[in-house]
Amino acid sequence: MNCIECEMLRQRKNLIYEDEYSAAFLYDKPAAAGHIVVFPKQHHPIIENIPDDIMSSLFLAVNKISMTCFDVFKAHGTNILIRNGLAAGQKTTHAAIHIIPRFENDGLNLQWTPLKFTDDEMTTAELSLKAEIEKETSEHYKIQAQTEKEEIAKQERLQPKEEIPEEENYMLKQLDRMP
Amino acid sequence: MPELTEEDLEKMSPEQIAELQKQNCIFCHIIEGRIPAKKVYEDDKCLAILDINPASKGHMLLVPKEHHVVLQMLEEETIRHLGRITKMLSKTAIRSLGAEGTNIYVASGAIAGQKAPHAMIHIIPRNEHDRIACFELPEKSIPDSDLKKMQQIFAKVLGTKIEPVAEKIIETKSEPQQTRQISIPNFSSQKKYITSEKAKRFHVEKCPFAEKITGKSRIYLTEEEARRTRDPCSCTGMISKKGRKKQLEKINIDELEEMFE
Repeated sequence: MNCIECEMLRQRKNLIYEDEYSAAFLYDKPAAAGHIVVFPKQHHPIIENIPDDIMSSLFLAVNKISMTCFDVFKAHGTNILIRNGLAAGQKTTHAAIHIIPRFENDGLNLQWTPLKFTDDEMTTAELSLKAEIEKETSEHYKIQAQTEKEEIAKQERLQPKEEIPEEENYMLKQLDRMP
Repeated sequence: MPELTEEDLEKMSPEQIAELQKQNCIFCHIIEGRIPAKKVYEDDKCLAILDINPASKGHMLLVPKEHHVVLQMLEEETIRHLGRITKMLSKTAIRSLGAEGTNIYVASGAIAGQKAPHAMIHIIPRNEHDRIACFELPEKSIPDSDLKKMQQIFAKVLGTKIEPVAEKIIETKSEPQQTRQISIPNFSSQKKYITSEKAKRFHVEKCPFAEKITGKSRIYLTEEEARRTRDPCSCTGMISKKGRKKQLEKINIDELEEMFE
């Protein structure tokens, strides 16, 4: 697969951090000195495809690294940015998180111009989001409960298997005792 | 509230100062329900509300319930939780508002554009023609020697081992990849890509766009059919033939957008 990030991971050039799930590199086309990209080692094109446990460890890594920006660079602030999808400005086929150390008069501006929506528009957005979130979280808990059930079933299945060798041993011992 | 002098502040314990900050924090008031807000999600650790100065429709703020000025001060467990919830919120924004992507954005420090002294994560639904240009970062060049210096400093602080970049390893590694390609079963005959009659792109099953296509309009395609008739969505991890050539030279967003149109 033609993936820039996977290739970076293989070359390990400019690697600054690595753990079980994620890796961080100095970006070679930086917006500011110390611009870092963090991405999951597994290839996932968009954030939605990343499993929950990898996502949370990715956030932890980002937090840890952005903290060192304050220590190492004496940065006055940091920006963390995910561009998820082409419409949001994603440029490669591997989901990544950008960390940008910020200084006074660095010429960067990530501030949007606020839009004005009517109360009705805001309420419809609120309601449709709420409905989808409720659906999503309830689905999520269903899946969680299901996997828990499956695990219990698995353990139950495993337990009798462990007893079988003992029985065999018992039989063998009996055989040994026979003249 | 009586006005405080600097002397008073010096006398106060860190806990008292934190309490004072909390009393003056708008977001803490929202969490406690003293200021009304459009809440879309709430659990025991965090709260998601709609931003009153939105960049786009459905712009959400994910706020941890504990008062911390910047995200970097939060506990590990909370950060992990926020990671999961951020992903969930981004997914729902795409599904329910018809967004084509999301920007997830955190500003720490006033210079970085932080407006309120409470840590928060912005989730901004995006569409192709929404004219939000602030997340287009300038791309500057930097000498390799500078990168190397910075790498050493970071690696030292973070405790990462740096291995020298050996070009030869890359060459030898590329050989087994060729043999691996042969051993992989041929999936191209499986109908695993999803699209609809009118759609210009095709998606994998897990893609939120694919989940929107339901009923009779849902069409399954093999990789060959899909590539011949449509362009891949970014979820497939493929780049269209037109884009592959261009990618080698320089990545330009306009070109990337063109090839998906």
